[in-house]
Amino acid sequence: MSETYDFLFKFLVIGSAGTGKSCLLHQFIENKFKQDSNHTIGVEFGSRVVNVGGKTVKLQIWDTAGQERFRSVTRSYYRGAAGALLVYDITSRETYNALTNWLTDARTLASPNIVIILCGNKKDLDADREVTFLEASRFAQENELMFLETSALTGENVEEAFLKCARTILNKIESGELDPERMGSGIQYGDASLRQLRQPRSTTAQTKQQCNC
Amino acid sequence: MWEKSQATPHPAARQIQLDLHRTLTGNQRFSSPSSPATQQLHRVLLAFSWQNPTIGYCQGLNRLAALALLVLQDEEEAFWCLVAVVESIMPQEYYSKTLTASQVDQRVLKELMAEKLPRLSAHLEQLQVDASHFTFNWFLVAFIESLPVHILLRVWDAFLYEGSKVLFRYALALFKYREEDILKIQDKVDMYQYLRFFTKTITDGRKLMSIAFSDMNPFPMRLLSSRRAAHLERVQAELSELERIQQEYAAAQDAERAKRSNKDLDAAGSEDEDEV
Repeated sequence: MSETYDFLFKFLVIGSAGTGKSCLLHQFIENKFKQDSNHTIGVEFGSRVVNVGGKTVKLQIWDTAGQERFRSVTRSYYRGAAGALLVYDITSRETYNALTNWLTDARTLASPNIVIILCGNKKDLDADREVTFLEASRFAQENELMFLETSALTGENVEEAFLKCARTILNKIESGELDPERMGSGIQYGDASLRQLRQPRSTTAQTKQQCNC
Repeated sequence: MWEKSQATPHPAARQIQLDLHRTLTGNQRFSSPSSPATQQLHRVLLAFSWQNPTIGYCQGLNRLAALALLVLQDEEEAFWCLVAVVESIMPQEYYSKTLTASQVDQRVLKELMAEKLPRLSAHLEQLQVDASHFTFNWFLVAFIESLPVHILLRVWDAFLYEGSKVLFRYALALFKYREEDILKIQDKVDMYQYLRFFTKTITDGRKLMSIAFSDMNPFPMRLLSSRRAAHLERVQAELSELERIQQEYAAAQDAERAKRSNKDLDAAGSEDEDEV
């Protein structure tokens, strides 16, 4: 049942209630929009194996409840997260204003190196927009976040959001900025890379080339 | 109360509105936002938020109210059923702003699992899987949407009659029922996938009930009360510690921002000032 992969990353999806967190996750995993979804209580899970820069990465995604009072519970889920999608709804300023609180949680409770991508969801509802692209991208820049506007309904930029986050983490591993061996990094080696690690370096390089073709 | 809620919107009204069409979506009667049942649910939840302003509205109450509506049919009776569950059957602070008592129960359950199901508990520990990620939901809504309906209603009979201890009995029984399957799972992610749905595939309600009420004995109420009291103190201490850390962080961020904007002003004066 378990596939082989090079790395396992733990991801979080956080943000206020009704911003479409579960729908983003569903769109990413099932490739379709989730009609009639229940709201999330506590946490939900999803996982998918993706190919990023020639490496197979398994993403284990934790989708959290958005109502304010669940924050005291969801906080315990942050530990050991490598990446996070921080979601607001472009048609609701209230959800945008809450971003600072969510960011504080992520930065204080997850690994300090957590890679966060800001997602302005419901891009398809442009007529009801309350938050401009410009101001959100400025916010992202000030807080060192990546930024995309997404639509869980049409699927636009959903895949990109997850992949962009994964790619950044992978780059940081390759540049040595992130150490997967460190406790709480949110990154684990999969079977494939463990096997490679046990082989001498020269063979590893060869295997890598074979993988790329 | 309904009229009052029309005149001045309760702060919880927005969240209630948001959750109306996200309640028991698999059930025909709640499938449309304009259906009578959804309208009734709306009124019951708004009325509750006025009846108990400290709680107002907590996600999950919608499921409790919806089940009450489905079974009792009558709006007012459903309202009082919700009041009884929240204010009498469940411990205080279960649905409060910090969900303190909910968090306490998860710690208690973890302890009981270690005692009553030591093999399973050790196995989860070894895989670093925290079962409370799933059991938290079970408890908050007394298994609604986690169990097949015919079993759920049986659980609720006991729950309404005997109180919240029943939730522990059934939670432990569910793990016991599938203990062998769970012990076979060796991968962490697979375990998460398994635990999130296995309760829905349980078919033998009689067997489950027998595990809950005989295999899990002895289970004195005294034990539960003393465990709850002990963990309550700890959870409260942790919550205030966390509060403190976050305030410090927020203060540091503010200071940082102020410093940065000062620096920006300085930089405007002398473009290439060196960093210290």
